Amino acid sequence: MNDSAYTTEPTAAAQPDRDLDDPMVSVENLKKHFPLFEGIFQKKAGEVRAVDGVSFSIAEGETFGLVGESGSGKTTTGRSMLRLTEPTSGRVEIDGQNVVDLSDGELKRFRRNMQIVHQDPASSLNPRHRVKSIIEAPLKIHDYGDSEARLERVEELLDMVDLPREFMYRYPGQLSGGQKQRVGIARAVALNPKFVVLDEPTSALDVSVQARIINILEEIQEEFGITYLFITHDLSLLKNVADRIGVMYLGRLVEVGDVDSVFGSPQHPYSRALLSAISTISEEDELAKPDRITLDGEVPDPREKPSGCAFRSRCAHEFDACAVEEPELYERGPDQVARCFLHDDRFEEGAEWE
Amino acid sequence: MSTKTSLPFFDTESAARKERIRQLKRGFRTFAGNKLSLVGLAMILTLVVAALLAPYIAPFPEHAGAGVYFDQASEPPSATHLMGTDTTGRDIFSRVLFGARLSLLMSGIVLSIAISIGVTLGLIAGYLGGTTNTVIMRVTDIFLAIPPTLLAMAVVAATGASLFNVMVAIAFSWWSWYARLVQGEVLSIKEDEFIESSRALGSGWVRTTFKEILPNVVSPITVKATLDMGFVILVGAGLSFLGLGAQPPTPTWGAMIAQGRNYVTSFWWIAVFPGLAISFAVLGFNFIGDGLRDVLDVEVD
Amino acid sequence: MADPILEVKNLHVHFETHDGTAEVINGIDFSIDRGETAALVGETGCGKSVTVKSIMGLLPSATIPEGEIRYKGEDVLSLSDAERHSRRGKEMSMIMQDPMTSLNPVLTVGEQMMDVLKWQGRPRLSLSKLVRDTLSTGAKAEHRTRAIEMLGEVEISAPERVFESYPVELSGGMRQRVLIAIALLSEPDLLIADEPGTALDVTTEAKVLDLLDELVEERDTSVLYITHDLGVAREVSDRINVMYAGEIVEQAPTADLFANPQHPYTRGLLESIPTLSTGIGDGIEGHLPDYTNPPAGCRFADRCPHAEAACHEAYPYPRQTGPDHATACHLFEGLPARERHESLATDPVNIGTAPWLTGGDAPGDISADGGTDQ
Repeated sequence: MNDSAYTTEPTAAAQPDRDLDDPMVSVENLKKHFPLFEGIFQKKAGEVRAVDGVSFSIAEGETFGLVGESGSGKTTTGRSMLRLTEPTSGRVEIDGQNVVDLSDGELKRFRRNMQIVHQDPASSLNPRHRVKSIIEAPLKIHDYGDSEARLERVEELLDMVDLPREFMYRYPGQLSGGQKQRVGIARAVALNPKFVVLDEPTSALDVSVQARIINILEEIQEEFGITYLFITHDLSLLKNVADRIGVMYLGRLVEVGDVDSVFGSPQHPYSRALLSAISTISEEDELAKPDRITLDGEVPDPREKPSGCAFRSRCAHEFDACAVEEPELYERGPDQVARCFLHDDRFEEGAEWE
Repeated sequence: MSTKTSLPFFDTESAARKERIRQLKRGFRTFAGNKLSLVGLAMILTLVVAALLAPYIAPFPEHAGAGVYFDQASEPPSATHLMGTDTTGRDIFSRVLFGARLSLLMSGIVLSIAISIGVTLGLIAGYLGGTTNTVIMRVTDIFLAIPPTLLAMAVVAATGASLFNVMVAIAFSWWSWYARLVQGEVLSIKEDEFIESSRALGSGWVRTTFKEILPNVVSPITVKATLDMGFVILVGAGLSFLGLGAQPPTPTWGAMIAQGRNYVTSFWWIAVFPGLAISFAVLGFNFIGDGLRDVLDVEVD
Repeated sequence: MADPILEVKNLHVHFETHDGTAEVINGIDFSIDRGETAALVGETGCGKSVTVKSIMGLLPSATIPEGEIRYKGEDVLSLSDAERHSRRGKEMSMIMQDPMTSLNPVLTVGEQMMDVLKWQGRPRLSLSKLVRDTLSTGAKAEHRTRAIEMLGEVEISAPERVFESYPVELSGGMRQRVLIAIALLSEPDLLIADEPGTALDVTTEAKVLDLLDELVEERDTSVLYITHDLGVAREVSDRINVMYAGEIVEQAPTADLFANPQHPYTRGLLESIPTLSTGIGDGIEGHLPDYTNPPAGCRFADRCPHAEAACHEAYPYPRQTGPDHATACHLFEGLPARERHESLATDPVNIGTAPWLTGGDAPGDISADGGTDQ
């Protein structure tokens, strides 16, 4: 952790440039604000800034991990990117196309390029449809061949996710959680999308099943060069699947960087606290993470975000400036930025970091 | 190694069929767990068979229409006339059998119309929400506020009494229950992730509503329709009792009771047996409906 | 096992289903010493919650055809409902998994805590006593003080305010603390914690677990942790029982289990957990056996990479593989850990030694070839 080697100049919207020459996915200043209504007349009484200016990019065939606790806005980010919820503002470019600009009809057609795997396989598959018609749905919607060609494709997809072909005649209720999630994956990749959002794809599953699902996702990525956005609250999992990660807190990215850099040397107090809270199964891992840092309180109500740095209410390093303005993303390595004044030369307190 | 070996080898279609049968068996066991639903099933099967075979099993099929047989008028139940005869000498048992046909047919047609309208409107209102929902549901509320018999009477008064008019009239007042039921179901199903998955795949609202949501509201509709079969028979009988339904000599149960109501004290069988037939049908459908409710695990109303 | 507070012996639990009798718990044995923290670890459907509910007597629809549950030496299965009730809550209490639904939303935290203090250990109160309690401001004030004190002990910063609050007004972490406070109100000797913190965020979960650890340490309370997470079990427990398909497949002191995991299921589970240093394994293929028609032999054999034909036939009774380590697997030799299995041991099944032991790999090296490579 030799910070001295890194520049501590504040650079506005500093972005690592390793992957940015020609990214498959790039998000610029994405915002999603939910209006709040009050009283019997449903008067607008403010808004929740669930996603408040998020920017990152993902290179083709790579996995970007988005991590954060509940209320961080990680899932809303993923859903806004696919316009499953309309973003308030911002730009989401997928394979060169700004998704936010698409008309409804264009969007429907474009959906073949971007897909999502939901968290809960029990509720993301229609209980009244057989596996075959579930996997076939995207093929039908996007006019993929005749019924024979579609059947062939369904079989191919079942092979891909390692499910016996016979399963196409089953209903989701007859499958285990892991098997359901494989069906969800097969459906998502049915049309060879360029980009897939994986929204906590394994958090409803047991670990022994999770490992299988992760392996399948990695195999598919390797073979078809799909770009993933992996949303999760599980840092140890992310360490194993992501190439780069972004840490979210109350709608903002507080740290972005190469996975090894962020795990090796977290540059934001929140990332560090998250890492320290991981439960481990070996001494080796125990040593690989920071000592337990206990944060004050809990994540504040998103309606009442603290001024300045949103994390300051729980931060052990808080000082005067934190309440006044929000820190920029400071460059902390070749591919690592963190949103914390401790990295600002203007403040002497920066010395306390280590 | 393990998946492939741990799965029993099976032939695709037959395994799927076997599983289906297993589920049906399990469903039937739940259904049969409630003895009354079995009784109901037996009652309705009897009724359906009787209705289908009426021309063959009725001892006097010609009595279904008009006819005057004064030599055997107003005879009490006997071996030849199981339910006796009416004031013009027609065999009541034969007429009740033919009445079953009309009742079941009418109920079935009324509910088909009501369900088609109600379910479509309910699906659209629930899924699209917003103004569409408000407009459809307020109209539904208005129809819910008018008693079906009253509405039917008004329609028949305006269009003339006939079986067809009565059916349209009842259907017209009945759809609102289905609209409300389905809209409520849709509101909860809409929150399920598979609806978002479907949107994420690029499907439009028509496909999402009819392909994804509709199959999930079939159970409550089935239960409600079963229970309603009986009620519609009841309303239909009421209307024909008032002379608003099928006109004599058509053997509807309601009209038969109306015909016998003046002789209840002297020739009780003329009104009582058609009345029992109505109770029999209504009770049978209710018993089945309750059993189905347990099997399908839904709540109606 | 000098002075166990809880002993479960040869417990069997059956449920009647449409498809026949489901043998959900199949002869498990474990015990918790006084002041010890034991963990029951297993995945979804392994029967860990059923085990706990049988201990608490909260399984009205199940039958227990065989087995003993001894609490402080007394077989609780033979007690009357009233007697069991008087032990529940007072002597043993439970922290439920979901802090969102375990609290009654229409009562304030204070009312719920006062209720516990008023009713604890009493199946019913006589009317006169109830009236007296309700009228007596003395008892009420005493209870209130006690409840607020307890809220302070679970590190709630404004206990008076929380006492007056409704559950919806509190955050998830706060509610979990309230649940802990309620569970500890009656100073139980045995605390059962069913996945506490699982529903919380990681940073909050870590804090809650630390807190709970401290509280039981202070009071010398014995704890039974139910969890699916070996990482959590490692942090909180002294002893781990690994459960699979209604059986305990391995039990050992925590450090020993991680240093020398023996049962193929334990090893598969450990390998599946994503780690910071060694990566993520292949997971375990297949699924739980059908409880209504369980295999005659080893219930894990279908998914086990080391299974031989004999494993499907012969019951792998738990055997002593170390001074304080028992494993239910034919790959290991050892005296039966339970007397009742001695007859089975006269004709041991020989399927060789565990490959990771003969292959030269260090016993603790879980990343070695112990998984389900295909």
